[in-house]
Amino acid sequence: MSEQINVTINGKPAVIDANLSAMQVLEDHQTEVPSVCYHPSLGAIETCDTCIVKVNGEFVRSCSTKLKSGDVIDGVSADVKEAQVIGMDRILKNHELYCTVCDYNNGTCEVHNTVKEMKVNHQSMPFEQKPYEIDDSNPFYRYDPDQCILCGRCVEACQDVQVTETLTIDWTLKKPRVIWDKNSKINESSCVSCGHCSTVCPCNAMMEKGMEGEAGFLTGIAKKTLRPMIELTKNVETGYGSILAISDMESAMREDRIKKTKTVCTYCGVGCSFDIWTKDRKILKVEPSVDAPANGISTCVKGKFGWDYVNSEERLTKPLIREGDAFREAEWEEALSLITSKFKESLEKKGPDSMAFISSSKCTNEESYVMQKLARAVIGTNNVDNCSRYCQTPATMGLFRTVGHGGDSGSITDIAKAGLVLIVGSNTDESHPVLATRVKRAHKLHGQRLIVSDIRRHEMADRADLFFQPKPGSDLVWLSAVTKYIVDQGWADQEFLNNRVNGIDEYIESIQKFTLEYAEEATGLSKDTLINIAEEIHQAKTTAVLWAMGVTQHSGGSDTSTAISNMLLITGNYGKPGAGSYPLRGHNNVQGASDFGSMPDRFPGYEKVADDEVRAKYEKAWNTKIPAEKGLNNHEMIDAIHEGKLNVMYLKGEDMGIVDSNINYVHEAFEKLDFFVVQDIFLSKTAEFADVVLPASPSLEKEGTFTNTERRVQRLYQALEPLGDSRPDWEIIQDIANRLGADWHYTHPSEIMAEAASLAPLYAGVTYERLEGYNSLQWPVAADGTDSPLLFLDEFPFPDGKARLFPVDWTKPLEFEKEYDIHVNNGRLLEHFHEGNMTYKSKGISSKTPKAFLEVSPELAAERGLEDGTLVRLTSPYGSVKVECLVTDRVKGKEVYLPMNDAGEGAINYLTSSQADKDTDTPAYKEISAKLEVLKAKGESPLPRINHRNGDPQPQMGVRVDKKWARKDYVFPGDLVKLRKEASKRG
Amino acid sequence: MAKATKVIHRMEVSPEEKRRRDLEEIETRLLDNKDAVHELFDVLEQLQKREILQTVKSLFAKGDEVMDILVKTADSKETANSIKNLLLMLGTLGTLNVQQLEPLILKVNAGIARVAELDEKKEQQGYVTLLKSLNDPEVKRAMAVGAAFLKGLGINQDEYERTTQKPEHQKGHTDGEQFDDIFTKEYHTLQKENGTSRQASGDSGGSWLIPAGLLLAAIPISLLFKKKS
Repeated sequence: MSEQINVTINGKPAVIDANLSAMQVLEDHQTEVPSVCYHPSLGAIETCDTCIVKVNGEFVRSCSTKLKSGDVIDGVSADVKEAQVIGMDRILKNHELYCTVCDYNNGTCEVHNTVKEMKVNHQSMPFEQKPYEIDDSNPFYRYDPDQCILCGRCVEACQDVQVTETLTIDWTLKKPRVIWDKNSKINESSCVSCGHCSTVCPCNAMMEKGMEGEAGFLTGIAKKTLRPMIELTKNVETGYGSILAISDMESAMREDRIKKTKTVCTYCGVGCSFDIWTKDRKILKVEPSVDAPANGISTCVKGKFGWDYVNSEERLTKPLIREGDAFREAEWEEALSLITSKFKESLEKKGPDSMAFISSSKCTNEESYVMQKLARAVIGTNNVDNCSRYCQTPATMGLFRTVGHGGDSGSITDIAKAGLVLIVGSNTDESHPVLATRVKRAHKLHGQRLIVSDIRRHEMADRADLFFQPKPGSDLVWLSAVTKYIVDQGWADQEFLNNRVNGIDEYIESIQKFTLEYAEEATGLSKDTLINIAEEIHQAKTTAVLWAMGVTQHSGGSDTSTAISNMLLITGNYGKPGAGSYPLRGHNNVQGASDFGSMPDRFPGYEKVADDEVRAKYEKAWNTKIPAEKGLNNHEMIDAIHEGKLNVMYLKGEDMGIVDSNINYVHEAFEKLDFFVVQDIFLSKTAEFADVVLPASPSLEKEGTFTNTERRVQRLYQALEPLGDSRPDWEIIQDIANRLGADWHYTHPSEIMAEAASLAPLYAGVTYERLEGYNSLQWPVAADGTDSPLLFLDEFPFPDGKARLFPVDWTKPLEFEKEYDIHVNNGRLLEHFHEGNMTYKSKGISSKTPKAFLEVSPELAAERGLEDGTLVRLTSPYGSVKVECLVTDRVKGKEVYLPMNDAGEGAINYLTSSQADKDTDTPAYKEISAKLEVLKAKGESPLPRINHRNGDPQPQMGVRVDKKWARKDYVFPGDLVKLRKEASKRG
Repeated sequence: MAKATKVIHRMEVSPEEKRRRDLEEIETRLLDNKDAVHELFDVLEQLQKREILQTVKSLFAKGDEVMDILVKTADSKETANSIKNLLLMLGTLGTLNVQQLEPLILKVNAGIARVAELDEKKEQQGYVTLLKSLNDPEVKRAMAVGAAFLKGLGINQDEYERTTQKPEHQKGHTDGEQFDDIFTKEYHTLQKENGTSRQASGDSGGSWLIPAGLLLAAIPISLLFKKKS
């Protein structure tokens, strides 16, 4: 309960919470305060001067004025209104009101709405054009200086929310405007096209290009006609009252033809949700909402602008059936009959375990559920898995061993709250862009400490207070050494350990070998660095550790994840806000695909297949017999195909032929299958091997739920009709199941969720009603709907409620022959998603980032004569790739970085081996070495000049309103009103 | 044994088959909306008779050009002004309170009637007669009505004005030498004047003094005549 204070509001006494702004308090007390620049997610920007009120007789900006006990607030007097109107008049000088022919006239224009609310009918200063052209250069949004009111929201969002630090307002210009970098064209700046600026712009100055000429009924007219139209509209206007009435009518008409559908992004595990605006199949824009639980107003370029693929001509619209070395289009009936007969044949001849099923982390929870139900209940095999096997299963394992729940300990807000964020092996700003913004913001504005451990100097590393580069695959060593040092210094959280943790002595015994000297030798880090890390953790109030594939995709991935969790237990960093473990999930539904049972050894909610009681529960519910032995994981499936034990595979939404490691081996396996069904939205590399390809519908064309990295379940709604004859995955799976004798009657995904919730305790209280709109639930969810944003508050999910310290040892990374002297790191790029089936379909993204490239260090470049555009071949013992170089100091020495965003000759997995994490079979993608040979010395740089990496950011705190106030032509409206009053008294 | 392939043979639908399917689809639609179709054709017949269809057809065919001409023609001072005046008048009519207006109109009517009755001779009455008539109860009432009206006229109604800009401000911004912002300019002007004794500021403030003075003068004069009679 916050402190209460007494104040006087508009002459009446009131009791209010302390620490509220005058604006909030007035609005809570039925006094509308106009505002244009204020935004709930950006806070007080103080540029617009329309929210001026009087506190204790003095004019102040209400957005930024915190109230104290005894304050007298006046939000209604004539003086106050006079000052507010001055603020608004100045805005209107910068903005032409032609609302009816404006694409932004959709009911949300703050300028329009404030003019209406303030009943401004004429303006003291007429609109004046600024001497600047519209900047149309960026493929996704444009800036019209003439419409820009200089509120600075975009700058605030760019500098302090997204923290790309590209935008500023140049307050020294005679006519100030927003500029990019040091005043370059938008497309040639450091702008990452995340869309924050166009999202928060209160008017049509910064606007998504998809809206242009599309949103309004009259906005599509030719440019040469539009100008006279604007003039006419303005000349006719008889005061703003009537022009606003007409534009309000037009705006209401738009509601009929623009569909706004809430959806959840499919590009990473952050789980951004937003409204997508569509007109027929045309996507006008993505509109994030303050209500979105994971991302608020934030998006990255993919989520905001990367949806072109849904209308791509390459989408599959009919089932394909293989005939020799080609496919032919077929009707559903034929394709499904063929699948049914082949499945039945294999079942009869070779038994259920000759078949395997692969779920997708891009599909919904409900679709994961029906896939594993098809495998277990209809076919009778536990051979079902999903792609989290390729990324985060080791992290889940590490957490199962130590704290019992395989998910993030808290929410993204906890990461923002943490005193210290430690990032290990995660290229967060490119792989989880929106989550990274929360760290960047906390670090820039709120003094959060940031430590980054990575072999590559990425953006988070550049920002870190402490950045170090251990030898590849040695993280477990420094983690254990730091933990030992903390214990040795007596810095362990003894009370936490005594009350809440088991296995202390045995664990401390196990880390004795990790002395500073040992660690120095194994990791290449200095003792000072190690001590420094320990001190940072010791001094921080709370520590949150973020990790990803740099940790998990190693031979000892599960063990290193365990070491992280052990360190957090020793320091008491569990079960409190701003602390805990955060294995950042890579795909939109990596968490959910496993949560809903697409795993060979676990049912939905992670209950074990081997557990008789659990199995009995499912057997009863599904009225069938389920095998007790765990099935094959997808790595083992490939081996089983080679061994001839596995003959039929049904795979959906997974480009296993590109994303699995050692893909030459995987491709050979696919060729050996008797019957292979692939369900996808495109003819992926994997689908090229199929016997039947089924056209599925992407997220925008169906309903369902996803579970993000925070364990947050969110609903997506259908924005578009399925393209052609494509269908949602759950419908297809149900059809196949029923043709094989099942008797399923799901008419909507909500019914599937209801069944899953009735069986899996983790999801007991999840219902579609509770997930309506932007509502969400974080598992575990009790039957009454209580969810768990922060785990382990009272106990850990073990029989005695205590966590377990789990001793682990270091597994040395794979060693290669001497000739393979280049270490090939790999991972994501911000702009592209995986093999690129979706993001390369965006013309805008492809224009800025047309292909993958090999990052090489200046040292290596000098040694081998490499430059931007040099074509090289990398060869590992398993295969080779051809790719163009980019020289950058993001990598050092003989370490190179190959983004995974290529499905052709540059696909990283031609190089990777079948070596895997010893505990989970997750491929050791990060343990590859190769030799490098130059194929063509000179070429064009693979990274166009217009890529944001070539930009020049200009960091500053917010919009620097102080510079506006210091201008000669600025005076605070309150001061003018005061002077006017004095003058009239004398006169 | 299935080698990777990208070759897809698209399903060929024969033109006859496609035509048959399309026709079937349309037929169903027509039958489902039988009544609407009949009515639609009735309307179309009428439009055809009056050549409206032909006009609309041409209009749409040349849509962009027509729109351009239309808007550009409309974007002239006269047209804009007529539309503007029309909107203004409509708006102003709406603000009139006809109930309250009625007695005033009756009075004005009566006044007009008297004027009509006025013959040439009377029009040339002397000043004395005119001053005398000030004492006439009807004239006195007229003056009271006039005074009340003037009072109402004086109330500040800026807020309800529909015209967009105050004329005195329309060009005001151009003569700012140093400050583009009129508020800043005003602030500095006021500051400069600070301390120096200021004359009554309003240019608009003095005009009401004349009728007020006249009214004031009328009272003693009327008294004078009363006494005499």
